[in-house]
Amino acid sequence: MRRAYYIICFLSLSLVASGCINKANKLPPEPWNIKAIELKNTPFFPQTRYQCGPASLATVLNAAGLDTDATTLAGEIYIPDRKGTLQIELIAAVRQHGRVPYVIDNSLQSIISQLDHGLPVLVLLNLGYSVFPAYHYAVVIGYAPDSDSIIMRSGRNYRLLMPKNQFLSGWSKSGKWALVVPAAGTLPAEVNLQRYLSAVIALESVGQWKTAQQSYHSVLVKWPDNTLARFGLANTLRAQGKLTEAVDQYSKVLDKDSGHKPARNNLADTLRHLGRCKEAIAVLKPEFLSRGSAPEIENAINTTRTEIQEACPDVPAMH
Amino acid sequence: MILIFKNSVLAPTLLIFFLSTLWFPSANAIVLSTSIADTIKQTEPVEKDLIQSFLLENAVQLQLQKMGVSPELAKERVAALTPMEQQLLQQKIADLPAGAGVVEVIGIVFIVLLILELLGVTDIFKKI
Repeated sequence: MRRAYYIICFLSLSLVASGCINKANKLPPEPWNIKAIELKNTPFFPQTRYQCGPASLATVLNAAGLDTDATTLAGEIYIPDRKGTLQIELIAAVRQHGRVPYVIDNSLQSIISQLDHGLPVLVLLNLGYSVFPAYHYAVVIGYAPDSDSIIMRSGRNYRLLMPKNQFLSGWSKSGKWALVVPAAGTLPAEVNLQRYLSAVIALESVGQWKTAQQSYHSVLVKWPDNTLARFGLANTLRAQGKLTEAVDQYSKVLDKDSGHKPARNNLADTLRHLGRCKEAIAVLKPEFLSRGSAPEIENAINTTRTEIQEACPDVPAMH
Repeated sequence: MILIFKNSVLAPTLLIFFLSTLWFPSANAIVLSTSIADTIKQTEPVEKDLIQSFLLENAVQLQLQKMGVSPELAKERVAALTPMEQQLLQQKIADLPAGAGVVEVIGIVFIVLLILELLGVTDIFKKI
């Protein structure tokens, strides 16, 4: 019996040593002075076996104003043989539902900022060990200072209180991955502009023009001088057939940066579609295009120029 | 011949190739996408070869099907991914973290306890 006691002690010690203590030492100490917060109105979708991905996704999507449930989402993101859900597909599913999947900074402070902003945070935790992982998705909805615990909608738990240190340990072992889904046309807290715009560009590439348009617009309300967002706004307008509005936005991009060749090309092409031949040709005057650039851009400009010449035979050539 | 080509990627690829030569004499896009002006290029590679992207989509779709996703859903799910995500999935679909649930953890603890019990180290279960 004594031998058994030693073995159990040894096993637990080695697990603690491999899993917790090492990790804890690597964590930079975060300043911690957080008040109680809990997004009590966050909906809850209890998970069925293995399906914490669809359940957590349903939670954040409904919080973002959509009406869907875990069973529907399982068909979109659950992989039977992996008995789980991959982060990539979770992100893609958010896009398919017309919202921007925004991966937040990897600090607990950042999670709290999103909660303060009213956004529940979908997190990936590793509740096992680094060598023997057990990944789990859950939704952080608050923090309880009296018990120093993170409050989550998790698995079948409507309100799981997990001690902060345990949460940090599990979260660190998943690479501190966390995602928020802002309501349509709104920004998350603490926006990293480059990361946010990349997420919106991905929306464009799967044809979610309307959502992308709204998102570029909300970026421009806060950062009116951002050229990439304005070029994106113009492209999404154009893709939805709002050509005159697109022309206005392309022109604004060129007001800020007259050497923006992609905007110049797209503006000329849009003007041609509107039958405004003279303006289209003026936009592509060689003096605006002297700087060399990527072959794809040069090719597009040449094609656009040819198309304008074919469509507008009455207008004199440009060279 | 048709039977051999069924379910293979070759026939649709050839078809796409044939059609692409018919429909797109100048294969250049005229309208440039927003990603081309994104200087950091996190989102997707600029080059979009029609055949290559078709092959990639097909490969990922087959992988999902092999892992138990129905063909219709697999197709929709692949179409929802950006080219870069498709590439990552194709290379690492078996290794990327798959969030499952706490059921797994309880299972692991149970197995450890069971092994200890069988080895005669503990006798938890007799007491229950």
